[in-house]
Amino acid sequence: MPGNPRSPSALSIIDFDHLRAAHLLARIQSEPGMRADALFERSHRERLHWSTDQRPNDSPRQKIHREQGFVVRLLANDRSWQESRDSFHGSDFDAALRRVARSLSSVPLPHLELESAAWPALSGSLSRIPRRIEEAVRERRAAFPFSVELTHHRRDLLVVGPAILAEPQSENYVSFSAAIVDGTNRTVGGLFPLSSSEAGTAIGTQDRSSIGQHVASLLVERFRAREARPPHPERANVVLSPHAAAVFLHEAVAHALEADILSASGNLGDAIGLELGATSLSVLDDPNAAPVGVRRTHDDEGTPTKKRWLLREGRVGQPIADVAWSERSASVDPGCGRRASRHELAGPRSYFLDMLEGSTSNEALLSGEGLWLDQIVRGSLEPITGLVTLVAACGRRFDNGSLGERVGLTVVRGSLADLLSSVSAVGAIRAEGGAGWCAKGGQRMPVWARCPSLRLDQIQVQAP
Amino acid sequence: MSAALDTGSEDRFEQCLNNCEAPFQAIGTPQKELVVKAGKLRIATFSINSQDALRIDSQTAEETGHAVRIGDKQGSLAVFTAGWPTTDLAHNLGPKGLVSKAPLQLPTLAAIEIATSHREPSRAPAPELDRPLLSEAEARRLIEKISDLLETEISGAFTLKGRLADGASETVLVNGHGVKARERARSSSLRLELSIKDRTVSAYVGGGTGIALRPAQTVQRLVDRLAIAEKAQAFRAQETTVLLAPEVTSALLGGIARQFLGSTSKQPAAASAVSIRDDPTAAVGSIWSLTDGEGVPTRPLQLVSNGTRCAWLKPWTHRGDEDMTPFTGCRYRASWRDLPRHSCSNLILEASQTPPKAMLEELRDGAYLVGSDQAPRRLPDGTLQLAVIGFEISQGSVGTPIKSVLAVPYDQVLSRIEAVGRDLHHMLPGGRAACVAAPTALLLGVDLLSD
Repeated sequence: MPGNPRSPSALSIIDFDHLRAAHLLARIQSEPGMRADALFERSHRERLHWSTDQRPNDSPRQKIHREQGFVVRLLANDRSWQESRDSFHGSDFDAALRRVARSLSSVPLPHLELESAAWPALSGSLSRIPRRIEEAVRERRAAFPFSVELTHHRRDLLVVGPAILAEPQSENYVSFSAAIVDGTNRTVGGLFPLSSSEAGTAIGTQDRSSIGQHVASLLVERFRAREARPPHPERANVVLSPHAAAVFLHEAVAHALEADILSASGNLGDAIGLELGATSLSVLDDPNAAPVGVRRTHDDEGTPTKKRWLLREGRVGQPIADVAWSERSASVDPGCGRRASRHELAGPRSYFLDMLEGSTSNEALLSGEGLWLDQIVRGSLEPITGLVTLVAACGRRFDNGSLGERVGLTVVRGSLADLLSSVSAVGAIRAEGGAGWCAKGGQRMPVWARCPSLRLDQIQVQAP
Repeated sequence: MSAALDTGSEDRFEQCLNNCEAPFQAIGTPQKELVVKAGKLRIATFSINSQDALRIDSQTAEETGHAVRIGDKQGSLAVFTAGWPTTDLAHNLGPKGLVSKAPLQLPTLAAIEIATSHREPSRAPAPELDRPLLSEAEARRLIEKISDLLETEISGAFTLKGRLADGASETVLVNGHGVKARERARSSSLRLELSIKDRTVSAYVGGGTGIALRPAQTVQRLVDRLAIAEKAQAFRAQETTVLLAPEVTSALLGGIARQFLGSTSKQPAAASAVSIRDDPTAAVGSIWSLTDGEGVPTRPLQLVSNGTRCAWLKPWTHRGDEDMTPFTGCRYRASWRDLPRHSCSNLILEASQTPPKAMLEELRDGAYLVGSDQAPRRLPDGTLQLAVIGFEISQGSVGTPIKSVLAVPYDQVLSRIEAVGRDLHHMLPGGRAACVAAPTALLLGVDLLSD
């Protein structure tokens, strides 16, 4: 449950008559099987840019984005109609309802009172993070010029419909992109969930410190690997760090089981029970177990989220589906409908991948020889062939338990079935955080994960 | 420029500017700017699954937003807010302590007058604005036509998804120096995801105010390119001659567009066959802009004339520079959510009278490069690389399909253009890149690297 939505600093979007909105939406469900709903959304992003060449008293460059509005949608079989607006006015809501309705009686609709609340005050707490990063870089005995762009994302949303009883949802996180300023365009990036779901609050000291440490560790590793050469094409044992494993599972498990991708090559229901990977792989999508700042009890369609087994001991549990896809196939449940904003269509997307830990220690994962990869900068899944590609910015060779020589840009490529079957060990320690931005279908959304390290035996690695 | 959007936003623009006048004046610095944009976008999305079931999603998005910038020589702040501006404009800018240290200087009325004096007096405003937006039935017919074409030309190919968007918008800008500008625009785009023999490919085409969307032609080009790519063999050659189809010439030119943003004295040489202009209202361009993102009037500018560099896209902030080039509006916003950036608008490599067929017939040995589906990359060593497909030319005959990577020094792209054809085509690269229109071009002494 999000924090107190009536707090002056929160992005309150619930101060209107939900029942009346639901009643109005019921009026446009003119035929059996139709479903009408509306999503109300407010978001606030503070972004700053900072670089080490700024003078000590300089403030970072700063931009603020504030968005609000709603979308009204009508679903019917294999059709949908939706109208979205950047407004919080009852008259616009009435107009959107009329535009979406397939038929509507001439009886006037009761008016929905809808007013925008004031925007929350700027927290300014982002501006303290760059110096934390600089300090953390120095603590690692490194020094190099860098720039960083930090964005504090706060989003509140509420879905209303005649058959929907959804709580307001909040997301509160920081994204970052940092670059080593040496003309080679070496960048690191990622997401960091905040420890409070209260959308209006400033970023706490502990979070600021953790972000600083996290960004610094990525930058320093990237800096130290600046001269490293890519590996020669070879079949190698590869250990993926928890963060790299999260990207791998996002591509090879989550995307592969999204209803729209799955249906491009077969029947949705046929996938259930299929053996897809090693028995050590048990992966859930569970938005309700995500870190506090981004925990979700309902998806962007107002459906309650649930613990969804994607893989259970290597076998497919449930595909990832939204309302529209669940109506096409009785064997899949909704609850994974997401949209980047009110102006986009909802679609089936994973949110928080939760992989069960194994029992292998870090030393045992690194037994024998191979490559340890951490900073995955890009991942993709070819939907028809199932070809998975992961690109790591850098990594290290390991030899009997210890990390050694650094390697540069490394590409891992293979069919998802081969890669998932090659998992020979699962680490005992899980790490939680952002898996990265997913831009499927042009909709850029954050994805989160809690994963252990994974060891994949004898897979193909190569230079880009 | 007073035609109303069919959103009826004309009255709301006037109303909101009246409402905001006092709060805007109350902001205590002349370096202040308000940009308000309202637009409507109609989108039809068609998706087909493996059981041939068709799904149609119809969307209308009415987007409104405003951007406020304030600042001085010491610092600035930019706030982008969805919706119409309200009377609490100043309050929403936040405490002064957050003002960043990026200086802000906005154009003055005197600067606008100078820029206007260099502009040709009469130019038509953006056409087509009052044309109704695409209907769902029209969108459906278009997608079906494309699907039929695709399935006829390539066996086993089918459309997975088509997204057709058609939109219109209007923007008003005012700043603290009394500058006012009003622009309207229209844009349309088509994105296709296709399945072809166990792989998916995507294609994008965009149209703007000055050009019509030609989806069928785009699909035909895509189909041709895919057919070649399927049979292409890796090919390499050093210092060879290549004939570039308009699509490839445009892609290459897009990779060096930044050259025109720096002073002419620092720009690399160009061959005598090269004449290039930047024209924000060209009939082959996707941008149609009478003023730029800060309200400075734009104008067509001859950048290269028969190999001679004659001007550069000089922003008004460089008006005091020693060179004699008059400044022009050339700081564009990608959207109301973005700050203005120094960039080209519609970059045009001017065509000659030579038919491309004659150019191909004259080529004895080398390659005819017809497609490229990636943006060029500039490497740290100064080489510009572009992945291409085409045909080997050997002893005057068109040979086997090839795939390769075209490599040419960044500073020598224009000096290696020996000749251009008469077939000027517009291309719209995705993202923020300028629209580039170019004809067939013959390049000498370039390398083709293995894929």
